[in-house]
This record gives sequence, structure tokens and C-alpha cells, in this order.
Amino acid sequence: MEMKEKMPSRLLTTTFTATCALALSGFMFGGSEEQSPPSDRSRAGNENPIEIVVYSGRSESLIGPVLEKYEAATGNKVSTKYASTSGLTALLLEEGDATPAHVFIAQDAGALGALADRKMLSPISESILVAVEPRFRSSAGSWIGVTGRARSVAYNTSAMTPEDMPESIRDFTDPKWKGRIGWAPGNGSFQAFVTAMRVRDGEEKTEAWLRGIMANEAVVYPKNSAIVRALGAGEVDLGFVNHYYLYRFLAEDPDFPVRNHFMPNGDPGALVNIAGACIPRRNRTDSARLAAAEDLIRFLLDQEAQGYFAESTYEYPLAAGMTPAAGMPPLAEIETPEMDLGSLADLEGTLAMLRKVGALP
Amino acid sequence: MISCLLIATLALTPLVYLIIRALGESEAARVGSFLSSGRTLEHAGRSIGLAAVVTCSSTVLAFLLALCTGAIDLPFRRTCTILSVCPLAIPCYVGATVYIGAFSPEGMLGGITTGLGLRSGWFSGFWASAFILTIFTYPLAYLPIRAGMASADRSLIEASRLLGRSNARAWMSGMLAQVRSSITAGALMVALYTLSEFGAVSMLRCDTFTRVIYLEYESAFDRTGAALSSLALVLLIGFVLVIGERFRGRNGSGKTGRSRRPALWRLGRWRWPGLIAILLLTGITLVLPVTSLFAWWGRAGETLALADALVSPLLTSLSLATIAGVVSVLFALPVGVLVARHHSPLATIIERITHVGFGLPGIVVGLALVFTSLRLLPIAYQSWSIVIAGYVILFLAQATGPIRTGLDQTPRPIEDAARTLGANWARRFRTVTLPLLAPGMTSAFLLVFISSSKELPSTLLLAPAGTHTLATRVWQYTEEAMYAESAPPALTLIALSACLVATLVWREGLLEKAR
Repeated sequence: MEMKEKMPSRLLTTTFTATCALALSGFMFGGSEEQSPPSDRSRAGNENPIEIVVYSGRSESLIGPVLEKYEAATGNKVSTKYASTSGLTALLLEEGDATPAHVFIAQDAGALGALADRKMLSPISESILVAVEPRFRSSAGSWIGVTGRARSVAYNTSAMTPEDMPESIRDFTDPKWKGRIGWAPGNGSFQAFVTAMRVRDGEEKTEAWLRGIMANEAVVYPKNSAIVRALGAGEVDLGFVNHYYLYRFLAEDPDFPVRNHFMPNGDPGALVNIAGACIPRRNRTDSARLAAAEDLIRFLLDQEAQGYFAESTYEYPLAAGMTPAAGMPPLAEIETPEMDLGSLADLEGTLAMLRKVGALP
Repeated sequence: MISCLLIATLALTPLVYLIIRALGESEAARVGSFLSSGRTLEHAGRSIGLAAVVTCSSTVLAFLLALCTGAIDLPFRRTCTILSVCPLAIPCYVGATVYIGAFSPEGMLGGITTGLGLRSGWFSGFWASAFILTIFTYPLAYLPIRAGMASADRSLIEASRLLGRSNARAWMSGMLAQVRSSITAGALMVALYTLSEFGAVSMLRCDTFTRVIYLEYESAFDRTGAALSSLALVLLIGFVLVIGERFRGRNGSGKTGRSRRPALWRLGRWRWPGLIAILLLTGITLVLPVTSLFAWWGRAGETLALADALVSPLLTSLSLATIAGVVSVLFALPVGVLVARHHSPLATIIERITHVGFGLPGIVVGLALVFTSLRLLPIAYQSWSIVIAGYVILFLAQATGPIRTGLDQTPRPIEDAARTLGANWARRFRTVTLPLLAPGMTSAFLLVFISSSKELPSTLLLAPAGTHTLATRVWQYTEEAMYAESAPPALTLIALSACLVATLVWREGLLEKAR
């Protein structure tokens, strides 16, 4: 009897060991469509396809088509893991040199700088680096900008004109702007701008500026796009945003009553940040895959991909000789502050400051 | 037995990793400064304050509603009772979306914003969160209080009257004495829910622990801060649970074994004001949200890209929820069998462990799984399998509940009889146990299915980038102030949650019949 009594639980044991195994194999192979470990011995030469792993902080809808074209052009296979830039940066930091990634595409120079500071990136060939102006790539050659994204002050055209704009973003602490400003202190691009201001003006002045903006009762939005939408609805008069959101609204409605203003004279308010690429350092070097990774970065800087980025994202193509989408001011006209974008790596310091002044919880 | 241990291990691993990540890798100095910093105290204070305000207001509201709907002379009494439960069908973050959208200048209540000269986005912060959470969570307290009043005995009230109290005071003290434990249970539910709530407080920018965890996770490259905040929240919840248990333990109900004579009461001249108050409440909890959402949808009309906003997130949500439901039932079966058939300390411990996930906030489970997958299975990071693992951990207790109840109601003698008649274990399981368990398994599946389909915080952290469920769609559209686009997924979520409420009611009915 006792034996028999144990039988059902043994059946269950078997069933559930099997289930657990299934579940585990689900964990193991869940991501296999996007990313399977490199198993075949790869050789140089395009007749033998090489498989590389890409971590992308840019969304699939944006970069997927370009990666497909790369596959078609080279015969290589790309497995991509899509996530947020900060999420993938944290992943790379946890993985260290055991990472399966061959290329990391990030939306922010700060993330690339943070990886470079920790010596986690392999150098990129000089022949690729020269495609882009030195200010938009790492001085040590560890990462390279692919597209540019400028900070701007967007304004509602019925509430104000460019003549009403102050000389510098620093002047928005004046009480006359009380209740008229929209901002998104939780947004990564805004935080990169604050880091730039810390680098340019120092900690004290930046903190005072943040306190001044808060004293002016700036309206908090969760995202840049929400600020631009609010500007169109007349909820606020001006907002600190990235330049490209506006063009997405204008593409749908040419009469959308919002325009961008770029602060002059190397103001941090006109910072041009980049979305760029790098090659994470790995414990096993594999020259064929390294070459394929560099090919991919070269491909992202190729005329076709750059044109696609310009038209679909309204960001600035950074390869020499490229022009932005129609209706946008040339990149040369935006007077970005002269600084090493790699110095934007100290995100933690900026977050600490935003918390200290109460802009972030 | 071994399978149960495996399941318990799976359920517990993320929490262990969270502790390792928070305390193991950060220097002691960092933990010290985290604990002593004004920030942490501020977040703790705000979390506790919000929980206290919402618990008080919900409980008072629930008590008054139970008083009205329990009175025998209330017009449309049955309808009013159902209406009082209905807000449960609106997830709090959907409620927040609705009210943020309604108060925006183009919204249904935009006139209030512009008319009073309020700055846009005024509907946010602590009191807005307290309002939203109160009107959408009070049914958690209403259900037990209403049930407690329905089963109250008249004799205590009469005794009180005999002792010389006035009618009203006698009724009140007699009734309160009997429903006190129901009130405590309901208040505890509301308090725990408020502490765990993520979507509404985040949308309304009330900086409680859950919002802070998400912001720290989102912005920083270093997740130690988020891990420490999560741990602090878990401790806070544990503290509330202990206090709740104490309270419940102290007022053990003094029920007599005699046959009950139910207490009946009338509202008298208060019955029409009572009815009007219930209708007004229904207006703000049900009518306004649903009409406002339909109005947004109608205004956007055909320009709305339904494939993006509704169809693909709906399919994702449904398939994820189906898998989570099936896996949870499969996992809950051995645990249920173990607990119902083998009474041992180990069985109790295993059952408690499967309940841990239920007490944890979704945002904490999500974060813990991020750490676990990064450490143990980097390849699974940001894959659907981890999202499903999160649902199973969060909702496994919802599946073990009905399965265990089903087993408890299965008379052991039937199985013994089958054995005596010579049926082997496989046949017994197939012909006796399984058919008896089927209703329990069905409701277990439904509960997990519906809870998973509307889950927001862990999905937000774990879902592969660029993919969406209904819940993350509503979240994203609200962040971008695209209220018209948020209407189709929000209405679908309300419809799904309405099924949950119906399932609960159906289950209660089943249980009543069984009794």
C-alpha cells in the first residue's frame, strides 16, 4: 500500500521534472531566434557566412532594415538583441569580457564613454574613424558616432518668436519664464545635456541653474515627445527637447505651431550628442568576426544607410558629405559646445545632482 | 516532492539574487548611506503616507457602501451591490490614464483645467494618486466588509440594546464588533495593494518606492540603487503584513455555534440620498472612464493605427497570458497535492514560498529577474521566457488557491474506495482525482490568465525592447500624452478585467453551492 501511495507523487515528480526541464530549455533557447551561440568555425571570406551578435539600443523598426541590407550585401548573419541603451550598457557591464556581443549600437555618447572609461571597448580601425569629424568620435578611437541629435529649445510660434529667446539656455532661470517652460528631467538626452553643462560650467553653476528652473515651476513631462505635443497644444511656451521630435510632428501636420531654436555661441543648450557604435572587448578574439563587426560599422556609415537614417529619424547623418533631411538647418550651423563627447560618461554624477535638487526622486 | 522543491526554488531564486545584488556587491558604506539618506526616508514616508491615506479613505468608503447596499430598503439593492464591485474591473493605471487624459486641455474635463486657470498637468502627485487609488481599490475592502455584514448576527445587537443603549448606538457597536475582522482584512488588502502599486503612482508622478525603483532602473547604468530600494520596499511590505497578522490575531471573532438570525437594517429617509451617492460614485468610477475612452477613440476615428495600438499587443498579451496560465496550473498541481494530502512542516514551508511572489510588487519581481537572468542565463535576458517566468512567480499563488480548495473538497474516501477496488494510481488519477480537480484547474487558469494579461511593471522591465503588450501600450501612450491611441488598448484591458470580476463572482457562487 505504501508503495502504491507514493506512485502518484512519483508520476508528478517525473511530469514536473520534465516541465521544469522544458521551462529551462525555454529559458535557454527562448532567445535563440535572435541569438544563437556561434558554433561553426568561421573563416574569412564572404562565401562562408559569418555570424555576429549585435546589441542594439536603437529600436528594431529603425535599424532592422539596415541590418538586413548588411546581411544581403555581405552574406554574413546578424543576430540582434534589442533593448534600451542603458539596459544594454548595464548588461555589458555585468557581462564583462564574456559578452557574446560583437557590436553595440548605442543612442547616447555617455553610455559609450562609460564603457570606454572602464576599458571595455576594442579600438576601431583608423580607416573607419576618418569618415566622421573628430568631435563626433572618441579621441582614443574606441567608439564612433553614426547620427547626430541636437538639443534645442522648441517653442510655440503663437506664444513667442526667436527674438524673444535669451542668449543662452542659462538665462531661463529669469523669473519672466515662470510657468512657461516644459522639461523632462527623467529623460536620458536631457541628462546628457546636464552632464555637458557640468563639464562646461562646473558643478555649482549647474546646480544653481537646475534650482532656478525648478523655481520657475517648469512643467515636468515624462518624455521629449510629450513636451513637443504639449507645445503644439499651447500648454507651455517652450521646452528643452531633442531637435528631431518636431520634424515627426511636422511630417504629419505642416502647420504644427512649433519650431526649434538652437542656442548660439557654443551653448550647452545646443549640445549635439550622437547615436554611435563600438566593439566590446571580448576574452576570445576572432579576427574574422572582428572584421565582420568593423564591416557592419562601415556599413552604418555608408551613404545608403546614412541617407536612410536621415530620412526616417530626422537625425543628422555624421559621415562626411551627407546632408540632413529636407527643411532642417545644416549641422554646421548648430554651434555645439566644444567638448569631448566621451566626457559625458559621468551619468551617475548627473543623476545624483538631479536628485539633490529634487528634480528626480 | 522533488518537483515541489524545484518549483519552490524557482519561485525563490529571484528574491535571493535581489538580496545578493543589493547587499553582496555594494560596499557596506553604500548600504549605510542609503539607509541614512534623507531620500530613502522621504520615499518610505511617502509610500507609508499614501498607503495610510488610501487605506483609511477606501475602508470608510467601503464601510459606508456596505451599509447602504446591505440595507433591506435600498432601491435596486442587487444592482447597487454589483455596481459597487465593478471598479475592480478598471486597473489603477488605466484609471490614472483616463483621469490624466480627461483633465488635459482637450479632454472631457479639460474645461475644469482651463476654466479654473490651473496649470496643465495639475492632476498629479500625492493627492491625485490617493484619489485614483481610493476609487479603484475600495472594492478590495468592500467585498469582505459586505460579506461580514451579511453574516452578522442579530443577537449581539439586541444584547447591546438590552443593556440600555439607544437603537442607533446599539446597532453600530453590535455591528462593528462583528465586522471588525472583515474590516481589518479589507484594510490590509488595500494597504498591501497600495504599497505594490506601480502604474498609477508613476503616471501621476508620486515618488513612492515603486516609482523610484523604476526611475533608478531606467536611468542609471548601475542598478545597485534600484536593488536597495526594492529591498527596502520588500521589508516595508513584510512589516505591514506582520502588523496586519497581529491585528487579525487579536480580534478573533466570537462566533457562537447557535443558528444565526441575520441582522437586518433599514436606511429609512436616507435611502434615496444613499442611492444617489452610489450613482454618483459609479459616475466617477465607471461612467466617466468608459465614456471618456470612447470619446477619445471616436475623436481619433479612422486615423488610429489599430494594428499597432490594439491588434498586435492584444495577440502578444493573450499568448503570453495563455502560456503563463498553463505553466502556473502545471506548477500549482503538485504543490496543491502536496499541501492538501501530505500535512508536514515542509509542505507548509513550500506553500508559503509559492505565496512569496504574490506578496512581492511586480516591479521588484521584474528587477529581481533582470539580475537573475543576467547572472544565470544572459541569453534569456529580454526574451519572452523571462516575462512568463515573472508572471508565474507573481501569480502562482492564485493558481494554488483554487486547486487546493478543489482537492480539499475531494473526499479522500473516494480515492481510497477506488484503490480498494483495485484501480492503479494512474487510473485513479485519471478517473477520480482529475475530474474532481477540473473546475479548480479551470478557475486557476482563468485567474492567472487575466492577471497576467493586465500585468504592467514586470512586463515593462522584462519584455524584449520594441515589443508591446496591452498594458505597456497604455503606459507608453500615456507617457507620450497620446490619449486617443491609449483608448483601444485601455478599453480592451477593462473588458478583460471585467472577466476577472465575473470569474471571481462565479467562483464565490460555486463555493457557496459547495457549502
